Amino acid sequence: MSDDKNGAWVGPESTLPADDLAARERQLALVDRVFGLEAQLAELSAQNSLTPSERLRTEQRLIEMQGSLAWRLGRAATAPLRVAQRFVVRVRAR
Amino acid sequence: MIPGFHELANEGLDDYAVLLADGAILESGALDEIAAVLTRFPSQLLYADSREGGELIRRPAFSPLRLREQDYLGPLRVYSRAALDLDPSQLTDIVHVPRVLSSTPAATVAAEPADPPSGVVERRADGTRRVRYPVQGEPLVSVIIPTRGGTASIDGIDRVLVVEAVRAIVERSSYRAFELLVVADDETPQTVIDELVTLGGDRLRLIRWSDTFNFSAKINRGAAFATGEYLLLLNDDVDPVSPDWIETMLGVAQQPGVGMVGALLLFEDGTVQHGGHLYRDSWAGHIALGWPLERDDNLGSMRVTREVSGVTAACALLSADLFWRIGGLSSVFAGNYNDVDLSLKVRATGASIVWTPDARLYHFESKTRDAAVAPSEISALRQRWGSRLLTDPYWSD
Repeated sequence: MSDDKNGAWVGPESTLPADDLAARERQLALVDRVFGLEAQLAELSAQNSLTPSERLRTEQRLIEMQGSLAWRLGRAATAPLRVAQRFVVRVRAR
Repeated sequence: MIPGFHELANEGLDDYAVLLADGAILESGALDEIAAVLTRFPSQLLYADSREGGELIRRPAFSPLRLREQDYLGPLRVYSRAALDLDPSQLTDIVHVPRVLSSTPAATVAAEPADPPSGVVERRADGTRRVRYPVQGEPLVSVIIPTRGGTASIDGIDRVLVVEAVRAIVERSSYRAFELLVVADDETPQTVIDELVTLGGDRLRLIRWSDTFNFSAKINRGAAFATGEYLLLLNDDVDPVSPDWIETMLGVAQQPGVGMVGALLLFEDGTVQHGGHLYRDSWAGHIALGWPLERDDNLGSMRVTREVSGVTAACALLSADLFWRIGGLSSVFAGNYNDVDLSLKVRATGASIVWTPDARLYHFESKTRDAAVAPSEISALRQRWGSRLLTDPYWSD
């Protein structure tokens, strides 16, 4: 066989009827799409879809994050904003 | 069964029993913590992180196959009365508390796990326990390799990657019931195609790819042609080290509850490229990336077959039935994260993903590979699996 780098290769290629191949690939794509939508839906109620161990681990990560220096510095830096926000809410409520 | 516990149960044990290893002590407030967790999540078994000899030991979420090779549960276990007579690896309702609830002055020596219901117990060269799962029957494995016939310098020698991969599989794999599906770009050099035909013989099926690059779609194209009961997704830049790599992965994949199996992948210099996937902080990476082969974590995780959050599609084995049930690889992820998405789809069916150090391959991916990630891929991944990418249940490092 010739080595023609400009053209597509030739050889004992496996083929399927075009409709058959397209149907199989479409089947995979559709099932994947349904799976993706179901996963997105589950994300909206993520709390319910996590196992107990996953929930405990997520809660622990939150505790660790809220105990971190970066979190505490951030809270301190944004404290005036939160006080101002509370003030505005109170004034509007009057 | 826990020795002596049955007798205790007959003597009027309450709903739960706390079992502490010899020399271990409970941390302050541990019992309150245990009671609070069991009130929220009544379980057959509860275990927790610990401090042993001053070292923090974080433990994975319940991993039944790992438990057959390594008792990783630690010095504190809380059993429900109903679970006392059962082997832990047979339990289904287990909670791991990711907080230190006990400590020991020195590292505890884990007990030898009970013999598994299936599999043969052996010892690895490093003394760790291995459960080998003999393959049931001789199912056909369809090895799907997408390629464009690229070359790379390995050990200073220019090699055509896919040719060497096929040569290694054909000449060195001890499992013989396989077919090779090479999905080759139009641009694949003719000399490469000719060599593949010579090497692959009757096992080879050449499939043309004429569209723009999409790794997922290429794998799916291969799957459309596959006739095997199992699919082995494989990059063209791999070289199997263990001759029994296929039957090792297949034996694990045939275990009840297992959906997909991955392998230990090594860089050319022998350091670790893949020890399972790690999903954390909305990010996905490889466990043990760049570690020397002899390095390990403080649980010995790199020496045992264990459950993981996901595995790379550079080498992953799953049943064709499962592949079709979950829609294969998503072409939304043309170049990146397709294996993360695949792994999370497998787990969404309730099946587990298992990584084994006993199937070992070189993966000649560059250590400095900087794959261009499309923003749409990241966005799609987070839309689908955002909460699954926050913390990894199986790896805490």
